[in-house]
Amino acid sequence: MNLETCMDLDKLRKRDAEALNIWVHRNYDDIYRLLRHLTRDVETAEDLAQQTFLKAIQALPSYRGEASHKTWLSRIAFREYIAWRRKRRFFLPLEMLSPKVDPNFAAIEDGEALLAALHTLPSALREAFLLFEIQQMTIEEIADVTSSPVGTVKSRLHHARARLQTSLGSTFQEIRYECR
Amino acid sequence: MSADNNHLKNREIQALRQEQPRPDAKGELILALLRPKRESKMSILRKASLPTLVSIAAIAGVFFVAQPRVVAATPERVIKAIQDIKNYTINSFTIEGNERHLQSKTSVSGKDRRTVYYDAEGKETKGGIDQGVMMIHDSPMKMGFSIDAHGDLKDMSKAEIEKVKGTVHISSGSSQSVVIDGSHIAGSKNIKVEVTKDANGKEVKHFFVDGKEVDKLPDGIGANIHVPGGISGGGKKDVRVEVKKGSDGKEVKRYFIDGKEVDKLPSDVNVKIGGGKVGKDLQEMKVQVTKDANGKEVKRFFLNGKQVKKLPNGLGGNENIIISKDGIKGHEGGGMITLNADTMKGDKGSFSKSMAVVGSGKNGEKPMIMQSGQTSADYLVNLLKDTSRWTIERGVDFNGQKLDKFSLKGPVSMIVLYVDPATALPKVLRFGTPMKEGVTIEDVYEYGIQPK
Repeated sequence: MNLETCMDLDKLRKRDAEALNIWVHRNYDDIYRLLRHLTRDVETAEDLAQQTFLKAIQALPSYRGEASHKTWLSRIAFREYIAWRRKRRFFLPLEMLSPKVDPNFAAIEDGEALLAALHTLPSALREAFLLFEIQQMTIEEIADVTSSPVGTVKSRLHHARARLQTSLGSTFQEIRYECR
Repeated sequence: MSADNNHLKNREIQALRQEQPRPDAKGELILALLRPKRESKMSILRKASLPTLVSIAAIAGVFFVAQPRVVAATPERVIKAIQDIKNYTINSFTIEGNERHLQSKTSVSGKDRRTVYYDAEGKETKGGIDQGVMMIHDSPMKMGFSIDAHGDLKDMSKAEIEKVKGTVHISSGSSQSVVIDGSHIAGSKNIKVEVTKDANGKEVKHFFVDGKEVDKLPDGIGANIHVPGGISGGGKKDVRVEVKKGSDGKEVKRYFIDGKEVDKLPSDVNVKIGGGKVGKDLQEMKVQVTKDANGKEVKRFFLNGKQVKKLPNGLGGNENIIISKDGIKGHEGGGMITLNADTMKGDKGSFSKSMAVVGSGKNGEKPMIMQSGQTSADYLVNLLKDTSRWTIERGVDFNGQKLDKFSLKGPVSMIVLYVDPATALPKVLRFGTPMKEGVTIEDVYEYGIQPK
């Protein structure tokens, strides 16, 4: 089912079970992954992902299909994340400071090292890097999701890479090598 | 390295790209998305033809076989559920050891609310005292306050106090000295220094006095605490020590100052964590530095929200809690005190043991107040709206039921709300005394019951 056809969007608006099933299975992993990496917390990511889909389905009538469905959902998810980040600004719980690995979750030690380094970066740089490298969005799509100019996204990405290179050292050299 | 649209392909990034969510998560989400339409579907079902019904049943069957039945409750869902419910009853019990006494029953129907109190023998009695009236006879100033239906504190006049006979004692372990609207805190300010980094990675300091952001700290406040390898700044530092068992079974300690991990604590902060439950122990320490009238540095230590003379021994002591309409000062870390009323007697009758928990919010915020059987839905909704203050555990076993457990975050988390994940409605609100004096209050919610 092509979700971006008028008919299928209509089914979603009516909360047709089959349409919802396909919609969620097609998009959930990306949205969850984005939120998990931004928040670095499994439970928070699940909660925010749920909020994202609930808000998305409410906002479907206003979805005009100008952006791709993934970008549109990512934009909603990113706003949910920003709202969450503002709320916890003053009171950073301890568990947020250490990697939290759910036993039911396909833990990836390789990625955790990179994620740990990313979370030492300013949030704007971290967000640009995650959206670009992990979500594999284009710079234009990131600009749309984060409501930032394209040049700013490029600059943030450049600085994020430079800082990772400093903090990760040889590991990041490997990244550069494989990139070529 | 230029920022073009070529994505990296190394092992770490591939690993993050392949991360998978919990297997049940999608099913729970689909059920959550389906739920709001469930009631209206009934009218559709009545009109549906047999083949349509078979199709719906088949789809539903696939969902309910393939996906978990439990849906996670979120604060937002609980708020919605509370706001939607019209009729409910709160049965409030006190639990002391093996004894469990019904102390009040509150029936709510729309805006109508009726409370019946029960005395220590279980006999129905009219309370006769305005809802939520609490007073502090132990207070040096002999002043009191009351809690209105919305959980707001109101000062009581002397005439009102005189109407209430009985004893209310403060059961918080270290809070023997309570001053209401006292003046001796003049000059004492709650200072917070937040250090963030801007887009260029440059440190930016934000100063807060009593919860309000200021350009700079007042003169004479702001001592230097040396933080090894870390952030420097005046005022208050939050020191946390996390103790966990490593894979080899040995204790592993990690130190954090203002959220930043450090190799070791400053030399004048000495931590010794003793005793058993390693792995669960989380000692939260705070060092507050002010200057006295002579300009001499004065350090105050707090362990798990309570001020201690020294770390880690010697709990209790000279802490003053100041209660006013604006909240509680002196427990800015999120602690709380508990007020117990033993058989309070009013002009019109008496009622059995009652309890209110008054917890301080963040500085400058309205305090949170829970009173057994009287905690209004509006107030609970307000608390839930501050979603960052709740820790949620899903599928906790409670009297044989799988419920979602909402605990208020803080060093002493004594308020717990158990929620039915299927309906997102509160089942039990439980709170107790901070020092575990053995008294617990349980407000058990029942729904769909018409009030008497």
